[in-house]
Amino acid sequence: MTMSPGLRRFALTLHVVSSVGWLGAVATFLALAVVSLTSQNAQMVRGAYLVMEPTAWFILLPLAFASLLTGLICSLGTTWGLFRHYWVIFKLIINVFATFVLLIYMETFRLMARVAADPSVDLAMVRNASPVLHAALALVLLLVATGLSVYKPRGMTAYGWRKQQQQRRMLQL
Amino acid sequence: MLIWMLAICIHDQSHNKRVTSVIAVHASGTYKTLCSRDTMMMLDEFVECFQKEDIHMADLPNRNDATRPPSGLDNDNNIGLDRGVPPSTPRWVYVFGIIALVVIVLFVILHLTGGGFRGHGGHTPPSSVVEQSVQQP
Repeated sequence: MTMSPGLRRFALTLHVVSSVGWLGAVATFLALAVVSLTSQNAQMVRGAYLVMEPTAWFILLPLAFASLLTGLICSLGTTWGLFRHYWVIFKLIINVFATFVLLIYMETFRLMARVAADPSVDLAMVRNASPVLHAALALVLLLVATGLSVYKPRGMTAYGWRKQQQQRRMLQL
Repeated sequence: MLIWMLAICIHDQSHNKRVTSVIAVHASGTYKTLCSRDTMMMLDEFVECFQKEDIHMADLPNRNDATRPPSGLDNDNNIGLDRGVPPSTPRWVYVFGIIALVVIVLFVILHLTGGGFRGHGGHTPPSSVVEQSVQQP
């Protein structure tokens, strides 16, 4: 099903907003992760881990799913398709992989917040380098996805080629 | 692929006015009128029409995408749509695939080995610390 131009632009707007919003949220998480690892201020370190959990639930996760959903709508509702062009497939893989890792990581956010909330736990034990690694990797992945969206490198899959052939034959009839 | 942009100026005798139209001609043989003005079109209006068409082209896939050669090949060597053979996989796809594979393998290895991060899989704080914080009233 192909969307009307107006609907297509609306869906694209939602996809850009959610995807770029997700990118911004991940950048913020990276900043929080670096601060929590390097700051000498104990309250700031504990506060950073405490903030991560609700922010992940209310910002990161909804934006990740919104980006995935609107991306599916944009691809399936236009002639780009989901498996017709390599750049769309790469974006899908990146999106699904990042969302899957984020879902697993939600438990880690909960545990880190619990440890940070306990004043009897030593600050050295509260610090964790894991969020830095994950946020940095997520940022790279989302930047690659953004680049793919903008440049749309050429390359059609065999499936996309067959679909195009079918459409041309139908137009000729 | 867009191959021509024409600006045509005619004199509409029935309304006694001058009309300018910008027409885009595509490689597929189709053409369409991008915009028309009741006056002589200024250069900036022409550029605006061209940019709108350019944006439109970037927004949707090119009908001839399958026939476009991957980088490093010229048009004569291209295996494309008209020859009944699927287009070859571009080089960038292989490069991206290899990089993605390396990143995923590194990611998994880091998690399995701990990679210098505390706790199981590098994710969680040590279980003793978590248990300690849970037992606290």
